[in-house]
Amino acid sequence: MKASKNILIVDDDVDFVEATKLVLEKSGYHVETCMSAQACLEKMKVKVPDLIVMDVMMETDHSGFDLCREIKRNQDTKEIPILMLTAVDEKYRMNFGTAAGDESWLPVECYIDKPVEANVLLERINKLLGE
Amino acid sequence: MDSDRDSVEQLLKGLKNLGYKSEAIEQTNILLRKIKNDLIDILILAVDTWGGGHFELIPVIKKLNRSLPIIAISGDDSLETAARVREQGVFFYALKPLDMHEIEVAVKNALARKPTFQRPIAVVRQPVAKSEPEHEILNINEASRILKLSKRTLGNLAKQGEIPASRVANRWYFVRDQICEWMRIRAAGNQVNYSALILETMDEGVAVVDRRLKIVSCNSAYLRALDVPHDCVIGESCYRVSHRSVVPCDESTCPVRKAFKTQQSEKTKHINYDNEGKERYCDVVALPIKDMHGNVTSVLEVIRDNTEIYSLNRHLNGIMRFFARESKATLGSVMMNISALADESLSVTIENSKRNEMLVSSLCSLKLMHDMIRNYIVSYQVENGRLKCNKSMVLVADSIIHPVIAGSAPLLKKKAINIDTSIEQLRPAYCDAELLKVALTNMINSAVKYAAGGSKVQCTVETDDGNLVIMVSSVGVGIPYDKLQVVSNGSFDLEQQDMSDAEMGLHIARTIAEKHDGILSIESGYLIGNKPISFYEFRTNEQYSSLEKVNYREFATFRLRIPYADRHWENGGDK
Repeated sequence: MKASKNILIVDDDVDFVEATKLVLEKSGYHVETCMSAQACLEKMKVKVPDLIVMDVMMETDHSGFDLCREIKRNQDTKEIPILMLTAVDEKYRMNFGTAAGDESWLPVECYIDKPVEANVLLERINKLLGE
Repeated sequence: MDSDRDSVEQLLKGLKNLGYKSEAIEQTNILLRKIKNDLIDILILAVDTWGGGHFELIPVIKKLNRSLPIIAISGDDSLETAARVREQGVFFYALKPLDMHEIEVAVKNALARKPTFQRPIAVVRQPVAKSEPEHEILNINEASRILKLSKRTLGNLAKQGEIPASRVANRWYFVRDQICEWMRIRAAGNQVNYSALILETMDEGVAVVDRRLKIVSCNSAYLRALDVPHDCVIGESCYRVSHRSVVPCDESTCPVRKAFKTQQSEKTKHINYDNEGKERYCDVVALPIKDMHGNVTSVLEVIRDNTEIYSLNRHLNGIMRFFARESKATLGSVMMNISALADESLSVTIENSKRNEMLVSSLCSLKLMHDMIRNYIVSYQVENGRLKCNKSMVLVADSIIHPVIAGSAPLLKKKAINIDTSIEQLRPAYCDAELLKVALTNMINSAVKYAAGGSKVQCTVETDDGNLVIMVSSVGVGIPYDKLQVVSNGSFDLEQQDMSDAEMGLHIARTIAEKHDGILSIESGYLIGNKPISFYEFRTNEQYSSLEKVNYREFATFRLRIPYADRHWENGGDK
């Protein structure tokens, strides 16, 4: 049941976090938010989410990369699916879509380019959570 | 040839008696034509025929037929005339009245020395057909037709020595091959001039460099590009002129040397510096010039100043980066909000109050994006010196303050910020209302950015010592100290990847203030009670350094101060 699934949104864009939180909550998910990699790790010590929606760039350009590798290295959190959202592919000139899933580089289950429509995001999340 | 009829008849008769065929010729062109066509074995020429000591015809005859023996006859027995005639290289000089025996001996000797002589019976031979009359003697009418010049022009050219010609008895005569050669040279000369003109019409700096790397020609743009006088360029080595170097550039980096070697056009990029030390981005293109055998005889060096294109590219790249970043990040929330509202199944689950929030949030993001696009455009105009300040008398409150505050409504509403305005009774100011609206918008956007949600932004407009002062301040997070330094004093750089919208906006506001001979001052620090203490003062003043800063609210203040343009009023305003 959606109501039993917890999603953690990690992004420093307040407007985006607010909008996404609203969309996910209205779709029946329980949503928590944080705005930095450090805050994410702290939150996961208290409660492990069922899925993480994460932006690549937060405090630094690499915060999201470092955070997802840290999560995947930890035995307690490595099974949590990560959906990465970002707007940095133009800057890095790389295809994040094909890099996603490479454990040595971008160990995330799914990658979506920003901006994303609400129904597309929901569809991916539902799929990752087996809904 | 003699105008003295008696002498002519005496000669013709005497020569006939001696068995020679002779002919009297009165017209110079006929004489010259016959000489050129080798129809005469011996010429008996009365040199005083031409009067006044004119001996111009003898050199012309010599030029046409060097081996033709000339027996000169004259009634002038002066030594001077005799000497001048001899100087012309005549075979024999006889004085009048003529001694036919003397003439007979002279004719015999002349014929004896003429190696090709076969029939010593006549002075004038029958005409022999000539297929190529290139040595034909032409009078001015004939020459004029060939050269397609008027007789007057041709006469002037001959008089000035511009065209090879001989003046005989006040008439000009020309040799066909000589004037044809003159025409070829003149045409070639015109070609050279066209080349120079073509070079000169080119906006780019262009020089022609020969194999020794010497500059043989260049245009004014080339001189300007390198800031050198013409005299110091022609004949000088290109590396001395362009690089102030005493040795040639390495072949691997020099497009001119490479073009000589590869026989193909070569290009390289150079960064030059103008008189003000500003960078000029140039393409140096070397185009080989080949002769008819395909050998590269020289190279056309073209200096293309691409600074404007480079600058435009920088801005386009900046704008593209901006759109890539903002369309994905800033528009991220807009897309999420609007798509959720547009999705029927999602939309029905969203309360009306939330819907309103989502729309305001989206509107706010779009408004900020609009302001950023405008700032980019202004920054481009600033960097290219194209930002125009169209000043006029403006009612500040009505034309600037109120419209900007109204336009900021979504931003203020989103953060639940109220704006307090305090506007003095102002007289019209002489300023560019549109630019000041941009500046004030950027000040308000920054103030809101550094304000706490639910707080107030203060906007005060007043007159201070002949200046119009527009102040916007907020209380909240304050401007981080390092950023404060950047926005207060730092130079604007579009390529700075992490420059925030607020930083760019404040740079633009500062530039607009300067365009009005004013300043933009930015302060941030702590409010101790109601007293604002700057971060710098808080750090360095012992009175404050011992205080715990966590107890105080942080403020940010933006103050734009421009002269009221009283001088403009004193001068009678707009006339």
